[in-house]
Amino acid sequence: MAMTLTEKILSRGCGRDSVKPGEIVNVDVDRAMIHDNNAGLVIKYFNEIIRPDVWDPDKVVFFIDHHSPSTTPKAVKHHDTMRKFAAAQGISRFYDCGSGISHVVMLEEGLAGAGEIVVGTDSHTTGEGAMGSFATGIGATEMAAVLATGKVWLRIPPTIKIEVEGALPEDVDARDLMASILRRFGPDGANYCAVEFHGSACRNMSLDERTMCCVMSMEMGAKNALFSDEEHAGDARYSAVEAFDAGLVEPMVAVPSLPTNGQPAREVARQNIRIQQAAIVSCAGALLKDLAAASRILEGRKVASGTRLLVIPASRKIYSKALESGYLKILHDAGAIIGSPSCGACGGHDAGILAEGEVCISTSTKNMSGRMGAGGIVYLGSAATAAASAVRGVITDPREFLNEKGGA
Amino acid sequence: MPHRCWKFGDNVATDEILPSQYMVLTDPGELGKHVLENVKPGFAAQISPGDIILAGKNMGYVSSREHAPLALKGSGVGVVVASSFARIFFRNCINIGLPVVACPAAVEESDEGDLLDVDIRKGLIRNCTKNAEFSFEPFPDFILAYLLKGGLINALNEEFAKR
Repeated sequence: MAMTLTEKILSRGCGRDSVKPGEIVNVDVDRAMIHDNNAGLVIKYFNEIIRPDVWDPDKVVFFIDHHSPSTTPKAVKHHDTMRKFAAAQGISRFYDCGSGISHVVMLEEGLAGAGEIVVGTDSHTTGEGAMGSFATGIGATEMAAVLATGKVWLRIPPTIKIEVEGALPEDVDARDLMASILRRFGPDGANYCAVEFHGSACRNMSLDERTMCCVMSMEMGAKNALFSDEEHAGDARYSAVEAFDAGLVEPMVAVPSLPTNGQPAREVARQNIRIQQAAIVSCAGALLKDLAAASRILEGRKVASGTRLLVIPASRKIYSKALESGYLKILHDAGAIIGSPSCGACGGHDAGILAEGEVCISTSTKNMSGRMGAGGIVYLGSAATAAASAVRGVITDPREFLNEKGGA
Repeated sequence: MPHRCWKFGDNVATDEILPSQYMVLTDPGELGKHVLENVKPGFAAQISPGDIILAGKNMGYVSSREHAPLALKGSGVGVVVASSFARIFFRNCINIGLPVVACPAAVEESDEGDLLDVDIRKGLIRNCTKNAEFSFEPFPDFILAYLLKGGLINALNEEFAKR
């Protein structure tokens, strides 16, 4: 039987002709990503290893994206440690405050190419699989060992094939498709597994859409997720194949408190849920296509009174393009608060924090209880859904606006 | 050498292995005094060095905290055998040098108090009480080195010291 894409990448990584699920192998790391939320611990553990140097400074990438621009005295201390460590070790790939979210910038900068093995100190490192790399999250102790040796041990995961045929309806976002996929799998449906995206709908996806799908795969337990334009062998050994029809997808909202709790937006909209905040943020929800979708709805409209609209572009490049194309002007004129690129509001540590009992519709990654502030209630949806909800002040099916504009 | 086994159910969470109020502790011995105390009160005092934990499916789920495996190791537990493990717990145990073995048959066919002999080199579990034998996929040599030398960082340092 032929190997799956993940098996092919990992067999190359350990220098063998073939591998099979369940085996434990030691692979060479092509890229190690470390961000400011965990860098302090990684550096502390690295210093316990009796080896003076990082194995290959060119393969290490540092990001300040979680607490940017330096949000607390403690955060800036970590940033300072990172800058000094990077300078001492010759790590030149240093993405400082305002550069953007690691997962998005790694792809923009070509630091997670097809066939590469990428590890990061973040669960959403699965996002780096969008261009065909094997990318997964690891802990701080392990990352310290990677810095010293350039190797990481991995158990070969079984691979799940997700096959999406057809085309999404015009007024439906790829995020809605992903919400449908997450709903079918549940929070542990892809536990330990590699996820591969195939089928015509996936082949036609933009890099933005692929990034979002790979990031969100983590929410169903995936170890890694990837897209590939490479023709794959039909007889590869998949542990499961799940088929979806893109034409049947409709706008979805994931209700509290799991990203896998997707329900049709039209049903959630019927409940007339008042929101205090709409957030177009994160590596899964503030890509250029999301800012474009929000602008389409917000052009010439205003955010409802009593509602805050927060927009944090995922990277500096996206920010620039949104500036040039006029999206930021439209969003600003509609009343949006526009922040500098960071993970900020997704984890609720330093931006867009909710008060107890407040409700937010967000394009971010998670809606577990307390994710955006203790007692805050988070619904997840597409940028169009968040924008439409911001205008109405209640959770809204975006087709209400899209069809009107499209003349349907 | 055979050791007594202690049996637990499915989905034993890291919060149950070590209640979160003890996360401020860092010494494995101190952490070990509280291991599984809400699941089996007084458990830590009954453990003899080398004893074996048998658990069901999804052992160690929920959190990535390294305190839970450290508490097990600090309490004297020698091996954890389970039907299956949560991904990060499995990695953390190996990286701190606590052998973890996935072997559903051994869990199903053994009872609490049985004497088990786990050979991590050969990939064999012998239930001396019931006179039964179970096999599991042995670890590759480099993982075995982490387990025998007390964890990833220790094994690395030993290797670097030789160069």
